[in-house]
Amino acid sequence: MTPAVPAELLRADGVGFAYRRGAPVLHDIGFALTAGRHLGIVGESGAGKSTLLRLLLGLDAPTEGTLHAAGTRLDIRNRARLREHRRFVQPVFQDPYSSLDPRQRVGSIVAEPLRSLGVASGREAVERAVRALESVGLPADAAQRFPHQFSGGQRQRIAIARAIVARPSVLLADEPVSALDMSTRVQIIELLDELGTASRDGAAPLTVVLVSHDLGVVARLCDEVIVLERGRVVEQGDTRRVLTAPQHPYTRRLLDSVPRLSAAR
Amino acid sequence: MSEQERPVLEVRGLTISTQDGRGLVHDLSFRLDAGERLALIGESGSGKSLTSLAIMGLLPDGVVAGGSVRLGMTQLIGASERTLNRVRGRAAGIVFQEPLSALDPLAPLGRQLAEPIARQAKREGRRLSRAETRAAVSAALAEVALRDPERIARAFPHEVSGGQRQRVAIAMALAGKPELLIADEPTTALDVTVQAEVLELLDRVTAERGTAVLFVSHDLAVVARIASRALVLRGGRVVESGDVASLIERPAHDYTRRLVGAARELDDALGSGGAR
Repeated sequence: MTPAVPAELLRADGVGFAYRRGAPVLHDIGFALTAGRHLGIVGESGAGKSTLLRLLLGLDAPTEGTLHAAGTRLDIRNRARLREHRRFVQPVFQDPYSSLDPRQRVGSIVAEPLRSLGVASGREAVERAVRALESVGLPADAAQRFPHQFSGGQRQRIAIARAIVARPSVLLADEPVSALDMSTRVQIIELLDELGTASRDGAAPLTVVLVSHDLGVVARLCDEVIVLERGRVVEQGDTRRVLTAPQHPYTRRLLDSVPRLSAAR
Repeated sequence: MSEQERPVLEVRGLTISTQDGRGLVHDLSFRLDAGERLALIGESGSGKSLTSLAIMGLLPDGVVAGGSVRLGMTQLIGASERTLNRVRGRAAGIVFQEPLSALDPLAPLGRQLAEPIARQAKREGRRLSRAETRAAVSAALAEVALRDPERIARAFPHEVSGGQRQRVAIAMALAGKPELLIADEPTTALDVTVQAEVLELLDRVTAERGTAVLFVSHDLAVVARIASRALVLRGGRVVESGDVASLIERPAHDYTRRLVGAARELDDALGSGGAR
């Protein structure tokens, strides 16, 4: 089952979320993720970025509004629908040290989604894992080694390989570079950018949803941006437009706060 | 040497190694004059944080330092714990990335800040009454731009935000009126708007007091905001040093070029409002 990728990959309409008996943490979120247009979700602590990501991953259901993925409603109580969603979106998390099982070889870690999603097993899974590792720039023998034998940046490449091995349409990346050294950060962003343009094994290119507090990283990768403040979208649109002509005072404050190289005296 | 010329901190041939002889920092030398601001720039494994810990005599067990670290008049390498305790807080204060690591989770912030304030008063030959201590704590909290200092003083560390905790940690580090403030990635864990405020605060209070700053960071743009001079460390060695503006404009060493290139790529993306 490899349906033609619809132009609109994800869609949120009036999405809100409140934990049980808690105050709402997201209010009236609306956006569309179109194929090939990487989306940045920007905000600070308490903005609701991680909650929004959980909704997009299907780990929680919105308490208000609706989410659509690949044109159909995302209902996480429907197990078949959720399973389909797992093949459609895959996550990458911040910390490459805790997100990889230290006791498993890298090849097995990367092949895991193929097995759990029932996409491939046995030799085919192994071969696809090796190809995924190659596509993130790791050497062929990486599959035989263990996570601790790799640097932080390489581990994040392994996590990305695992996320793309089942050929999802959307990669949900939660602060994927903030735990990395500066020079490694840029390399990983470049890799995400490449994965978005290259077609892998004839598969459709990947569209990235990047959750980040780092405006520089978002500016480098994302075509569209959503600025969240305390659970609300204060500004959204074309990244270039938002960053060069921010309309909302909060966006302006965020931009003014970013330390710049030109400050050197 | 006159008082004017005496460096606040002079590090000569500092080596840091594990007990079994693995070198972590190799033959590091630099000096910091009164009121000056120097940055140690480096990525993970560069030895920048070990260097700042060595200056405070806070190296972890199993790690040893050799060479010379003179803080004011005191040689710290090989110094007794008693000497180190006398120097900490008074000659140099330190602020870490995670202020929680420097704060007691079970004591109200005001009581924690009162300790270095009382110690400093004692050194100055004064004994503070309870009311005087409370007033001094409030004044110290107000100096680091904490609104409602009375409320902050009563709060426990987990009851205030990360930015507020870091401001309290700065107030504590400065309570002993040190000539040197060591700031080790002090804004790395903070939100970007809070980072800007805390950098502004560090800039202002150290300028007002004439405190020298040793600023440890992986982030060139943050360094550019605070420091005038920098050492670029890699694998425990200095690869390049100079004033920050020149390092950014004309990096000479390959490694510095790579760091500047990475920082510039993100900076440029932001400058043009998106690279794509």
